[in-house]
Amino acid sequence: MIAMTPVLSRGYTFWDRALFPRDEFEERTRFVQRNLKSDQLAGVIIWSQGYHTNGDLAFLSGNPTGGALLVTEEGEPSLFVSGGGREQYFLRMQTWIEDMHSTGGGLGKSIAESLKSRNVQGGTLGIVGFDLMSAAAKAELAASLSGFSLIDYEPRYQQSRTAKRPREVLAVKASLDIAREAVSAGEEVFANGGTNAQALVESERIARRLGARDFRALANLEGTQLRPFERITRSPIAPLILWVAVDHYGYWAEAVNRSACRSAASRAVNAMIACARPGTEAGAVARAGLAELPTSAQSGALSYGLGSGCGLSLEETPSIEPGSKAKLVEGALLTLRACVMEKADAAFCTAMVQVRAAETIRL
Amino acid sequence: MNTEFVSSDPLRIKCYQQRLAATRQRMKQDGIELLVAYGNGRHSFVGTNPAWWLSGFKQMGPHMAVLVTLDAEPFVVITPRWDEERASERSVFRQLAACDPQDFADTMKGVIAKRGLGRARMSVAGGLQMPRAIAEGWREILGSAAGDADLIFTELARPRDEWSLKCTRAAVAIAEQGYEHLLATARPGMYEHVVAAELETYLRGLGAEDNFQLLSASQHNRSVHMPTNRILEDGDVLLGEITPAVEGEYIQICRTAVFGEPTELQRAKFALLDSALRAGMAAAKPGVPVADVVQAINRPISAAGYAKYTVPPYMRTRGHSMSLGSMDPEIATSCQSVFEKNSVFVMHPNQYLPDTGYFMCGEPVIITDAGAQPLTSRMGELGSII
Repeated sequence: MIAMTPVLSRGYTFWDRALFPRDEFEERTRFVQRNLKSDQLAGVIIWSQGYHTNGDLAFLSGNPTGGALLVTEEGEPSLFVSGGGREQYFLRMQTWIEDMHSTGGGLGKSIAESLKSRNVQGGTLGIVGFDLMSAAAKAELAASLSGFSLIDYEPRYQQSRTAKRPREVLAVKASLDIAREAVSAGEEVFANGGTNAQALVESERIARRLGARDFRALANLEGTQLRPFERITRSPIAPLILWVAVDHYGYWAEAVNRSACRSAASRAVNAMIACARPGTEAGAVARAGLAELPTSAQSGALSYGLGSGCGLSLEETPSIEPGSKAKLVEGALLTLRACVMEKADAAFCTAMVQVRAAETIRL
Repeated sequence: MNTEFVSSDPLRIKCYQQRLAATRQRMKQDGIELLVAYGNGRHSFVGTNPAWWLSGFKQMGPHMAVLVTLDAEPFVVITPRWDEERASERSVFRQLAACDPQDFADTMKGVIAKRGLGRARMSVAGGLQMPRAIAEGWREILGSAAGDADLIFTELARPRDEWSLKCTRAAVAIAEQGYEHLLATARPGMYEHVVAAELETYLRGLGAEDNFQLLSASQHNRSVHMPTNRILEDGDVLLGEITPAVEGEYIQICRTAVFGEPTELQRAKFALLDSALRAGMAAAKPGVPVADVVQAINRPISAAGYAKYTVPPYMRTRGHSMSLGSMDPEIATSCQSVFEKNSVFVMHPNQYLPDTGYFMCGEPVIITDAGAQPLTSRMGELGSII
């Protein structure tokens, strides 16, 4: 779902070694290294923007900020972070990666030196995050690695981590608990006479207190559609529709206040859950949900989105949309939602589920 | 609704009209017939958003573009489709199309074709962090190669207009109130991230739509960072980089406070950084090279025996803009530009000192003929939380 992107992921930041011990990251790394070998790649470079770490980077590094990760067939990964090194003291407490570099002189140059030190001198390198880099960053990377063939490895890499590991499911459940507490707190403020904006702010306060690293929210603050918080509003608008997404330890979950989940929106989500099985096309799931919505509400619901994969990013593959041929994978986490914002009826329902062979279960 | 910041504010409308007129003037000078001001929705305050600066609309979706010609009403394309209502209220331009992100390219092509702009001389301003995928996609969307118009917005947005300053001053007031609230509520025994959460949402309640906030503490800080589960205790030095935004205008104060009474050593070292800040502010006049002001800031610190600490990793920069409009000036020795009247930025000799650890000491300032003037009602002091 699309919400206002804050300038910085700035909440609770702490490497929970009980939930994500070092061996968890080592095992993930071995898994990627096995793929590199079978895909005949010399290595993979995973890039993320600085202020909002994307899931691709965090999956292997656990790093709470952006940068780039180099993984080769053997050895431990290397992490490259921007700046002149001021932040390294803190970052070293947040990640298991010991080989950390500052890239003041250019990312590509730093990676080239690291490859040389690993005696990796040619071949094909997979790139994850190519589309997100600036054109200048990509050019610098390509120039510095001119002895290598660079390919877009993002689809393959993301596909390989669609099914969630047990500890990832635990993390998403922790995020979901926070998200639910947050919307409940907002709902209580509203029930006691607060405005929709006050409800949203209270939900953010609770989420951050409980450990949200990042927080997104939309509510029916003004007008007829959902909006991000931009200013104080004076009058409550009933019924309250408050949607929040919480990132805790990098893992996202979302929730909507209970009173908003009703009527056709609720039926649509239930229909999608019933349809979601390993091997089912995402498009079929979307169509099952749409069939429960009034025709007049379908276009709006599609624009808000019917859901997607979820985990280290708020929106992972597959996207739940009618034309999608992507097949659901056993073990994948999905967020399924239906938003109806018609003048006569406003409702929003969401569910976080795990696709399992016997049945898809709600988290 | 906060009545000071309604979309129909005459000052807002006047200033956005002036921005459009100034943009068209530059287009004429540069021989541009169609300018596409693009925003990628990241709202990085080191990334610029030309579409926001021209239209007054802060997008949620991954794509937004304002198409400006020399005479016709500008046309806005926003994502996602369901955000059209808000865009129609907030954008100063009435001609608007809303589409979902996957339809952005086709919508742009349709708008250009319908308006007969396919053969116009085009330029794109996409901000410093425009993703490669869209940067390389413009040729296909526009039907021909486009020039780079980023410099137009960097230069036009640098001196702040009245609307920008009104929003900026409102954000400064929120930041100052927030810091007072922080001093009043932070107590030993609280978790670092809970203190940050309470400050964050207090700012939100005052009307801050966003906030670049780093808040952390230590007995001897190495730098400021995101809040952790540290339990705050007497003797900890709390660092706060507080950057609320109003109407897309971010403004930053950098503050340091001690749990308990500061030591004489802490007072002396904070005074040193404060003197460096004031030296920089006095030197920062229109026409003065930015690099000279960096030297003015570093001089007292070096004279006190800390020359080796005036470079990374002990500090990052002596200041920077934080607008979504112009990123100039970055207060660094590598900066080639000179100060311009009415430009706004944070000046901050934040840095590590071996005796006391990292201290933060920074003010939002505006460049005047008399030097950089603080936008705050009271410049930062070494705080005490008792």
